[in-house]
Amino acid sequence: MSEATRLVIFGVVIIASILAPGSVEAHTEGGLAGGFISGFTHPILGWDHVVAMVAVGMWGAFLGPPAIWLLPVVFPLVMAFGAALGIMGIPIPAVETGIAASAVVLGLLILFAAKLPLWAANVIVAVFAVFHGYAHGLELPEATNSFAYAAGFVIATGLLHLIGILFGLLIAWPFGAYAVRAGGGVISVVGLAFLFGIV
Amino acid sequence: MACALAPTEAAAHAPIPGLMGFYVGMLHPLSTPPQLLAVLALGLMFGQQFPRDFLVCWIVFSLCCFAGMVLGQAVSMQGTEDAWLLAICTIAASLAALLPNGLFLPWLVLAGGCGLLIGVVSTPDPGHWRPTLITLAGSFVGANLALLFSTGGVGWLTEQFSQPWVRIGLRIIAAWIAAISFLMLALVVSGASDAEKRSLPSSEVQSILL
Repeated sequence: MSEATRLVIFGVVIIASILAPGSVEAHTEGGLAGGFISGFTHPILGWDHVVAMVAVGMWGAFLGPPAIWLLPVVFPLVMAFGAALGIMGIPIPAVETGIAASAVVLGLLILFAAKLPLWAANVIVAVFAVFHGYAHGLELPEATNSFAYAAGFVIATGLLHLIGILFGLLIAWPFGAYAVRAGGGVISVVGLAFLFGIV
Repeated sequence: MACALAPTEAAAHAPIPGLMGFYVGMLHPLSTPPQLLAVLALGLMFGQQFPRDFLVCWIVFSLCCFAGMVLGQAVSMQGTEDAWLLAICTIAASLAALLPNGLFLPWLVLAGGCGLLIGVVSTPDPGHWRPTLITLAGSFVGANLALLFSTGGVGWLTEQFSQPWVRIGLRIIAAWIAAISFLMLALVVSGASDAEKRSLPSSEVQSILL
């Protein structure tokens, strides 16, 4: 069994464990647990965020090392900066457009298998991370527990990157490259739908 | 086995006077997110190159922690301790994520700053000198143990597992910690945080010890 196969199986098991249906709860939890769940679900419940963050992972996998892990390192760092701008109330124009555009651009980069230099890839991801962070930052002060919310939010973002990386690792197989590039196309279309307000 | 299972006098509270206060102090560096995150960030920063330069940084951390405990008795930081700790944590975790090879001077400054602030926030409110001293001793031991364990844990991981993904994983965790601490810093600075003042209330310490 190759390294890539083992990584994909390991990742799928981890993600399946996290997403597996748990017990039904009639009441919402407050405090630490409530803050974590609230932060964890926040990036997952917005499809424009989901596709863009998965795309970051997929593109990283397409670019190979060191981009495969450097992009998921750069994204949360810059996203936190964007969130800080949102928390401080410093205005940024066209936030929603920036978020939708991130899905369109990253999807197209995957679709056309664009192999940009590492610095350029980092700059593109960092610019879009500001918009995503800003949108989350606007809602952060309302959280029950700021630490738990921030932890849940950052971990969920990282797991979305991981999903993208695992899907991107399919390029190790002949059919996989087509599947990943098609995935990029789908992400781009979803981004366009958000950009033009269709969804 | 027989000795371990033999019936002894039941003790609902610590049998040694002051032990509970020592224990409360020892757990204090792990009791609030800014302190916990800062110790983890330092651990990730030093641990990736363990044991290089760690001894010097640890001595600086310990001395500054002691100095902070002394200073904390006389100087008030007006509730800005959490913001400074989170700033140090953000810088340390960012360094661990982006420059895992490390830079000695920033390491020293961050170790000293973190030790000083942990010392200051561990200071109980003014009260009887004996319980205060016991609690401070516990906090000093706790802070040093936390740094030793976090650094040693990361160092052990990098030594035992040579696969590249271990180091990559540590850098990703460092980036996450930097992001979390920066978010919390923004909340504290903007005044939107739910953080409370972190010093141990003297009434709590006194009631435990006396």
